[in-house]
This record gives sequence, structure tokens and C-alpha cells, in this order.
Amino acid sequence: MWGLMIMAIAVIRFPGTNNENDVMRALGTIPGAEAQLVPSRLGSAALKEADGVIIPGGFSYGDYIRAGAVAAAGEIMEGVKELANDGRPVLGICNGFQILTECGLLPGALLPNTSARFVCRWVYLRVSEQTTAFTEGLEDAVLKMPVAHADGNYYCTENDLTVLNLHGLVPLRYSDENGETVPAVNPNGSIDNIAAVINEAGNVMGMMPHPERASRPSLGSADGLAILENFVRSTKC
Amino acid sequence: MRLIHEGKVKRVFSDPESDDRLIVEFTDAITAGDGERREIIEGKGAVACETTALLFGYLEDKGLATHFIRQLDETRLVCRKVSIFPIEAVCRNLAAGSFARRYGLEDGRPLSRPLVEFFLKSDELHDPLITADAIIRLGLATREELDFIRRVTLAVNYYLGTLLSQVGLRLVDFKLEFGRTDDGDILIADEISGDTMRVWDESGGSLDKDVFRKDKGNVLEVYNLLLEKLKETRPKEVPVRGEVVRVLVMPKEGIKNPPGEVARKALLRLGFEEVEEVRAGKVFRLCLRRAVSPEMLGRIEEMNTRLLANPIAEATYVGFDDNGNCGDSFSGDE
Amino acid sequence: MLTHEEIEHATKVLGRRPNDTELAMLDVLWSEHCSYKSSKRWFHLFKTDGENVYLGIGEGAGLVDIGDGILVGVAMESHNHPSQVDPYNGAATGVGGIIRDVISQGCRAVGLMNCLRFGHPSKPKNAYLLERVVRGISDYGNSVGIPMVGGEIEFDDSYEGNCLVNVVCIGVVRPDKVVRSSARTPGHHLVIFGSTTGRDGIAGVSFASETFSDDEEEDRSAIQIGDPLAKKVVVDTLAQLVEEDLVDGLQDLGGGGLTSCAGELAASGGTGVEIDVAKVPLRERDMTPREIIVSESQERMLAVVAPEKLERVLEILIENDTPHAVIGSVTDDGYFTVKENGDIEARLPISLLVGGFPVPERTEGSLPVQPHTMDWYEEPDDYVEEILRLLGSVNIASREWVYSQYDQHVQSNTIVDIGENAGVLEFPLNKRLAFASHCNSFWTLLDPQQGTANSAAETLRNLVAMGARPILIADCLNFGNPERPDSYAQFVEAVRGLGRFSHDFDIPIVGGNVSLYNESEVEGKVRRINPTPQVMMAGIFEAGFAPVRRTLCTPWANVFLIGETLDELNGSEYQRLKLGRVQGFPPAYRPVAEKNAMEAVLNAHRARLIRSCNNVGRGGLAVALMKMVIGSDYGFRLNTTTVPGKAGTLGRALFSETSARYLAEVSESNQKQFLEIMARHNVPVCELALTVADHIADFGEFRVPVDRAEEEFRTSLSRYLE
Repeated sequence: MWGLMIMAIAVIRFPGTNNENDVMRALGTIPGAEAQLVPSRLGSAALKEADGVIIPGGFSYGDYIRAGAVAAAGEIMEGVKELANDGRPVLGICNGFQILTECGLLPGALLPNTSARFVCRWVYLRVSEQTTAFTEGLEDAVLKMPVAHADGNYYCTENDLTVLNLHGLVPLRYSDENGETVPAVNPNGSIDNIAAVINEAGNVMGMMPHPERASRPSLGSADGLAILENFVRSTKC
Repeated sequence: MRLIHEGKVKRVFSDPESDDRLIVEFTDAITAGDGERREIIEGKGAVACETTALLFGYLEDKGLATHFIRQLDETRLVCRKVSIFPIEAVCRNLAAGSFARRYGLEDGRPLSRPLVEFFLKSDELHDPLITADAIIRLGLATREELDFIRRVTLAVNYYLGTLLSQVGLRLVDFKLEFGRTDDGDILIADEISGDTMRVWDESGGSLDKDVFRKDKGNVLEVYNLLLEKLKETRPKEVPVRGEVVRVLVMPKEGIKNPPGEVARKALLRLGFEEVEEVRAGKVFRLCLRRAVSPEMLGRIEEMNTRLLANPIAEATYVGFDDNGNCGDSFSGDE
Repeated sequence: MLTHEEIEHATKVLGRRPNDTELAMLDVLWSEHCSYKSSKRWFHLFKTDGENVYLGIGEGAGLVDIGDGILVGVAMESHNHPSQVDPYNGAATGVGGIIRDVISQGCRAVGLMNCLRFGHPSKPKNAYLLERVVRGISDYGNSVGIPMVGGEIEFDDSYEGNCLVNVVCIGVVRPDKVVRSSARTPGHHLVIFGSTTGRDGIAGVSFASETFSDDEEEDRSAIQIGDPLAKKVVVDTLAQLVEEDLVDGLQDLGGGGLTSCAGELAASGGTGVEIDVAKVPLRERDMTPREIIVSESQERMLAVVAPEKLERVLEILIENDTPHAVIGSVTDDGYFTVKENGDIEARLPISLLVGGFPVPERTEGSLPVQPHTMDWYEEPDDYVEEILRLLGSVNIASREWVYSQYDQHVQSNTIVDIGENAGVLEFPLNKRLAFASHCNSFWTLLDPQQGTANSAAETLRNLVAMGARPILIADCLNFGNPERPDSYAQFVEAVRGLGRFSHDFDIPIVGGNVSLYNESEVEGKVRRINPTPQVMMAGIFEAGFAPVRRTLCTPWANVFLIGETLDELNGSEYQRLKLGRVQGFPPAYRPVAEKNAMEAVLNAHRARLIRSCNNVGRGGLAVALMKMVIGSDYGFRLNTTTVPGKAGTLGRALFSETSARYLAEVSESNQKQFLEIMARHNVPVCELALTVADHIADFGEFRVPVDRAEEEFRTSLSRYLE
């Protein structure tokens, strides 16, 4: 009944996820993107045919224990891990990023914002000069997207940080509109202004800013669409 | 079989088949007043051995961890080798014995809640009462170990008391000893028999060593009666008790803690200028339908790492909640 | 609590004394909060109909047709008392309640607003209340995934001890998916779902209908706890039920719990209901029928389901893992029957329970007549300092500290964020609507009728400045104890003011609520809130129109002042800062001038003549000009200080709060056409300033340092909260 055989991109909805329709809508504007909403209760079996997975933002399970913690322990994440190990692209946005760190697919943790308050605002992002599957064609660019989160303060151990920097695993950093990654523009206290992290294999990325909310000029920016377009392209490789 | 240790009423041998095990032999000796009075009563060793085997088996069935493995013969048990803590835990439901004498209470006065006391095992010093702080400061056990021992003692009190009540008997008090395995697991050790507990029947008659202490009759007879009564119980009908556990999750040392920092500033603003640091964490109160045991601690540890805490940034502390009762909250399955 | 007369009345109608359960049911439904027994008699003064009104006042949300088969729904409600006692949960459940109102009509919830009133934030208790209220709204609203599009905050001592939390929810629905709050067909099932029922919030509505005493801490039992995750699941579940046309009627469980919910379903359907409380999923043991039937536990809905659709409904509820049960059915006997395991616990005629209360007598006292004199006014020595002081007033300064905690972008429909004159959302088929809410409680204090109408006019100007034509009003009328004649007079006068406005501008009022008894007793003395008729308004843009913002966007354009400026500084923010209080007759409501200005500005917008536009509101011309510079790359240089109207001095011109005024930035090439439109609508206009490439605020006689102005504006509120 879910027509899983034709699925290309699985957009996972946990109870409490609330950006799934935004992501679906943004994907809907990308030619050739086939996406399907997958409720988490369907489990890992529902991901068998997926060419890629997006875990959208929101408050999965109310973020009741810790942002993303309950979702990360869900059975469907076994399926996500399998796909990831298979080299399929996995993108976690906001709560999705939190889920990916909680389940160990990405290093580090997302701690409460330095302000200890939710923060919703537009930010500029400096794209790393190293090419990744998700930022291809955007190298060194400055993007504008909104953030909206209470726990976006990226933290990792010194060792992890060294590896991230050494291997170019930080595709996005908070910057000013000229691309300077100065502390003053850091919205949440993230270590080294980190806004996104990618795994060593280059197929799993988590990002706090919302590309789907910057997908039409009338929303204030369409910069996010480029990242989603890259994601769609990488599902077809 | 090598004799390792000879106590007042038991002998401990090495087990030729395994270094991890011991063989405990119950002798026919019975003592009172720190060994001042000592007699041999034929058959006493066997009844104490069987009672212990029966009760340890019962506690194991309920999920508690003891050193008991199996009964070898009439007077001998095969047990796991542990290093015994030099303390005894005594749990009391009614005032009796040394407790009643110490505080000038009449025997049988009920206590509002079960009480756990610790005594230092020392014949020379006549097994004096010892406080938890002294145990910790003297390095006899850590605070975590002592918390666990205390909680297990209370659980044993529940399981024994409920079992005895099925046959019209009251558990007045009892003594437990504990040992630590090489892995650090803490097990109930020694014995549980008429020698180590006070049990009264409905008319207040003793079914324990008080008969010997106070010369009130044939101690072997009452030990056998206690054993008979225990065999009449229906252990399966004793429900597993819910245990309330508190898991405290705190940001690790050195990890920034914005909620705590914001709270600190807010307190300063409110004029509490003495506040130097605030760290904000979380508390989970879990009701676990499972007996307190090293295995339970292991499962809690697993819960912590898999869900309740983020090991990268948070540390956890487990504590037991004395006043907690699983029945307090409405869970619908009771 | 029921009065002696009310109990007598119920006894007479029933022919027997009501039992305890019945008394509890009557108590909640006859509370001011549920029955509007002091206020309803005045609602005929409102304009409530209109050709685009699809569903007017009376159910969860009002529905207005915005064309092409799209209805916009709005609901507005207060949650004042609970928020004073437990600001976090009170505010959160206020948001939860208003969302329920909108989704129970079949709408998808697409926007939220909140309007708050507190004592001055320099007092820690007030800052605490603000911080907790905002956190409650933020945690709840963000989690459910509905963007915040606007609101208002005002500070005054009168709200100390009785803060106000008014919330708005905006929805969208197609006509064939509208669900009505009525139980029309006997034999249909009543299905409760969403959450379990506990003792939380028992008799909250009676609590909301009393004044605060010194020991407010004791009132905590009446507080409900919100659960945004459960609410999100309810929202998603409901969307599925509505999509598959499975419910015949729907009502949320809010104030008054099951009693109010099922009672109103039966009343509007002309039927009866029978409920077995033993079937209600509980979260606490040993609850009595009385407790179950009046509990206000959050996140619950009651659906009316036809027998043939029950199976599918239950399937969906199970699939979504939400607590639910069939708890009774619709009957044809006109009674509300409560059973417990089949035994009758209460049985009341619906006609008695819903609206059958004896109408209480209320006395409208006389209000003091305010003098027009301005003899308190002295021309300031230093205009710069006065302007900076105004920008730093907590009633004018930036609210960014607050609204940055609200998710404004979820659902990806937000065209204009909070912080402009109005927030703008995109609806299906690229329709765009602007939302604003306003109430100047200093004006309403001085003259409730004028003040209310003029507050509505200011809300209107916020929409018009951006280019939106107002289409609907919702309101939340917050007042003191109606049993006091002067307090009641304030209420009635405000209703007259809003009624007048709605007729003058032909804008229907489609939703709202009344919150009375907003008083606190401090050391034996009654402290009553300023009359606070919070007015919310929505406006629609022409297809393809990009909302016009207020920051200056080109150099070498002219800034025109539209409308006359009068000597109206009584009740102004300037007066309040000078005297520490307001006095005199507030700025007058001038419907003709207001309407002319509105039409002129909308016409100029339609011709795309205006680059940026600002409403002249609190703080007057000086503040309105400064707000156009703050956040802009450009600045202005004043051309003239001779403004149309009767303002006697520069200070009076700068700080007067005369209504019907706008500032519009118009580039050179468009000026001729712009001035023609103004003239056609009989609107006085003057070329007030020239925009310049520098980031300056040059008033001719003096310059306001823009960096200091920005600093004052941005930090004056947050400094009390950081």
C-alpha cells in the first residue's frame, strides 16, 4: 500500500517530526526527484528500496529525553544505517542532524544553544572549498538560510575536531554575509562555527540550517534548493 | 579439598573442580553471645544448610543475586567464591534483640518502615554498630556499594517477609552478608536460616535462634518447624517488586552547560550573589519491575548509554529511591 | 462558583435539587468564561456578517472566504489566569487550546500570534513572567510546527499581578472539508481521542472567572500541563480523519472539559448526548464521574462519528497510537446524560446547561470625562534625548529577544518575518495574507470607546502600510470584574468602540473571546488591568503583490507624510514617559480621515508607487521615521517641519499620536502619480524628508545618532532579560 517499489528518496517522519511536508514540497520543485514520506513505524523494511534518505527537522518524540535521542533508538534507523553503509546519501536536517549524531552515524553531539533559548533567524553559511556530494558547485560560496533550533551547539572531542578539519568534513560554517566565519555570527555556540558535518565516506551529512525553508525567492532565499538538488543528484549515482 | 576458613558454625573449603567456587559446610555447632555459649546439636547443620539452600534458591528465582550455586549434600553447598565485605547488614521490621536493648524498647514494637543497620564483623570488638560514613571512610565499601547492599537488603526483606506471611509467620529481623566477585558484582553471601533471622508465629513464639539464646525449648525442633513451614509456602505467588531507581544525568566535567550558566546569571540578577556555578542536568525516575541485582545495574547502564544520556557529553549517576514506590504512579498494569 | 440564584433557578427548572456532579457541570458551563453571561448581550453591536464570511462567531474558529475555494480560519483566546499562576504551562496550554479551536473546524493550522501584557520588566518578577511565558509559547508552538507570524507586547504596572496572554491561531481549509461543531444525528458515536484524562485543570474556567487574591500560589491545582508531542499527533491524526471525511462533528476539549464540549455539540445540533465516564481513558486512578466530566486535561478532542465510519476511525486512531475510546452517543432526547458503567450520574436538559443561566444584572457605571487640555506639555530642550528615550521605551523597543525564540519559518510559507508592520504568510494558490494585532491600553484606559476604535485603526494601518486590504477581525476583550459598575462600563464602551469600527470599515468580526475578572488584590487593594480589547486583523494582498516593508530602500527618494497631525499628545508614549502616567483625552478615532488614508495608500500600493511604508503609531512621527532608518542602509534628511494639521510646535509634530497617518517612500519618477492619488482621496500630504545614501537621521535642527538609536531600540527590552 505504500508503493515502496518505486520509491527513490525516503523522507522519514517520526512522531513529532514537523518539517516533512516542507522537504517534500521543496523536493517537488526539483525535476526528476521522486520522494516518498515514510512514517517511522513502518520500520527499516520500508527503506529497502530507497536510493537516499532525508531525516527532516522537527521535534521527534517531542525531543523529550534529548533532541533526537528517542528517534535515534528507533528500529527504522537500522535501515538508515544499512543504506548509509551501502554508500547511499543520507541527509539530516536540524532534528535530523541531531538524530544522526545520536545514532552514531556522525561524530559529536548537539548541545543546548549557548543562550539556552530556541533561536530562529536567518544566517549566512560559508561553504567549504572542498567538494562534497551535497555542496558540489557551491564551493566557497556564501549561502543564506534560516536556522530554528534549541540544540544546535555542535560539540565534539578534540580528536574528532582534528579529524573533521583535517579531512575536510565540515561543509558549512556560520559566517557573516561576506563569508567570514567570525564568532559574532555564531547563533548557538557551535565549536568553530560548525553548521554541518559530513562523514568520512562522504555520503552522510547533518546540517542545522534549513535548506527547505530557503527554497523559493519569496521566502527570502532559494539558496537551500541547491543543496537539495545535489542530494537528489547523488541518489542517482 | 583444602580447608580455607573455619568459622563459628561453618567451614569453608576450596572446590577442587573450580577456582571460582567454594564449598561451604554447615556444622552442628550453635553459638550465642559472640561465641561465649557454644553447643553441638546433631542435625542442626543439615537443617540450616537446607533452609539456606531453599531461601537462596527462592531469592535467585526472584532475580536477586546470591553466591549459592547448588546443594552438594546434606550439609554442604557449592557457592561462588567472593571476597566477603567485613560488615553485616541487619534489616528490622520490629524492635527486638540488641536494637530493643540499645534504645530501651519493648520487643515487638513495630517500626514505621523497615530499617537497615550495619555492624562491623569483629569478634574481638563484639560486632559493633557502624555508620555508613565510617564504612566508607574506613574503605570497607564504597558509597555506591553500600547503597546497593542496603537496597538489596530491603528487597530481601520484602521477598522473605511476603513468603513467610503466606504461612502465618512474621519476619522480625535478619542479617545478611555480602561478597564481591572478581568482576565487581556484589552477591548475597553466607547463609539465611534460623541462625540469622528472627521469625515469630502468630502467637509471638520464636522459630529461630532466640529459642537457644533464651533457652526456651528445643532449637532443632523449631528450626525444623521453620523449614517445614517454608516448604508449605507458594513462592511463585510472591510478585516481583517494582524498584524505584533514580538516574541523574549531568553534563560532564568541562562540557559547557548553557542552561546552568543562564540559571546562574538569573540567580545573580535576583540578588543571590553567592551563586558561583550552576550545572543543570536531568533526573529520570524509573520504576523497574525487576529485583535489585548486578544484572539490573548492568541493564540500567545500558539504558543510560543507549538512550537516557549522551555518553559524549553527559555522565550518569544511579541511585535508589527509598521513599519511591512503583505503585504511587498510575501505571494501569497493577 | 454558582450563585445562590443560579442554584435556585436550576432547581426550579429541574424540579429537584441538582446533585453534586450536575452542580459541577453547571458551575463550569455557567462560568463567565464559558457562558459569556455578562458580555454576550452586547455582541449585537458588532458587525459579524459579510459576503465572505463562511462561518461567523460561535464555533471554534471563524472562517472567511478568500476566493478560489480557500477559507482562512481564525480563533483568538485569552489564557491570562493560568499564565499568571504558572507562566510556562499556562502560556503553552493557551497555545494548545487555540490550535485545537482551529483544527477542530477541519482547518490545517498555518500560523500563530500572541499578544502579551506584563508589569514593567525592570521588576524581576515581571521579567520572570515574560521569560517563562515566551518559553512556554516557544516550546509548545515550535514543537507542534506552526510558525509564529506576529503579536504584540505592552508593559504597564496595571498588569502586575495579572499578566495577559492572548493567542491567535490561523488556519486554512477548503469548504468541503469544513467540520462543524455540532452533533446533528442521534445514534452517532462520540469518540474521544488525543490524550488521557486526569485531574489537572479541574474547574479551570471557574478559576478564570474569579479575581486573584494574594495567595495566587494556592491556585496551582487548576493548571493544565501541555504536551506538544501529543498535540502534534492529534494534528496529524485529525488531518487524516478530515481528509477521509470521517467525522460528522468535532469539538475540542478546552475550558469546561467534556461538559462544555459535548454540551455545545448537542446544543448546536439540537440533540442530546449520553456519555459513560467509565469508558474515558484515564491517567489517574479513582477519579469520580464529577472529576472526569469537568477535567480540563489538554490535547483531547471529541469526534461525532457515524456508525458506518467508526471502524475506519478507530483504525486510524490505533495506527497513530493515540489514546482514544468510544465514550457515548448522540441522542434525540435533548438531555446531557452522564453514566458510570450504565448507572446515571447526572442528567440535565441541554437547554438548561448551555445558555440556560439566569441572566445576571450588571450595572454600567459612568466613566470620567477626559479633558482635552495639554497644559502639562512643555517643549523639550533636547529632541535627540527625547527620541532616544522613546526608542528605548519598553513599549517601543525591538521585541527581537522574544520573537527570535519562535519558529517563524516552519511550513515554508512565511513571506515576511515578525518585526515589520505585519507578518505575511503565503496561502494556497499564491494568495498572501498579512496579520497584525494591536491594542494601545493607555488610550483605552483614558477613553475605552475612542481608544478601542483607534487601536483597531492602528491595527488596520499596520496591514495597509504593507499593502494588504483588511478582511477580518478577531478580538480578545480583557477587562476587570463586570460586577463593578466602572469596570463594566469600560467593557461596554470598548465593545461600542469596536462595534463602531467594524461597521465604519465594513470588516466582519469572526472570532474572539472575553476575559473578565482581570484584577488582582494586592494588600487589600484592588488593582485592575487597563482595559485591553486586543484587536487582531488579517488583510489580503492583490495577486502578485510583494509586501512593502518599512525600511528605507533607495537614496534620493522622497518620504511623504500622509495625513494630518493634530495636537494629540494626551495618552501618548511621550506623555507617559514625561509624567509617568497618561491623562486627558486620547488621540481621537477619525473614521473618515482613516478611511481616506487607507484607500489612498492602497491605491498607491496597487500602482506600485511606494518603496517603503510605515504606519505612524506609538511614539509618533519621530519614532516612525527612526524605525524606517534602523536596519536600512540609508538615511533621511528632513525637508520641512511644517506638517499638515494643527501641531503647534516641532515637538508636538514629532510626538503626537494622531491616527490616520502613514510615511511613504516614493521615488522621484513616481511622485506625480502618487500625489494625484492622495489628492483624489482628499488626503493631506507633505514632502517630509529626502532619503540619502548615508545611514543618518537628520531632522534639520538636530541629528539623531543612528548607532545610538539602534542600540537603544535593540537592547532596551533584552537588557532586562539577559
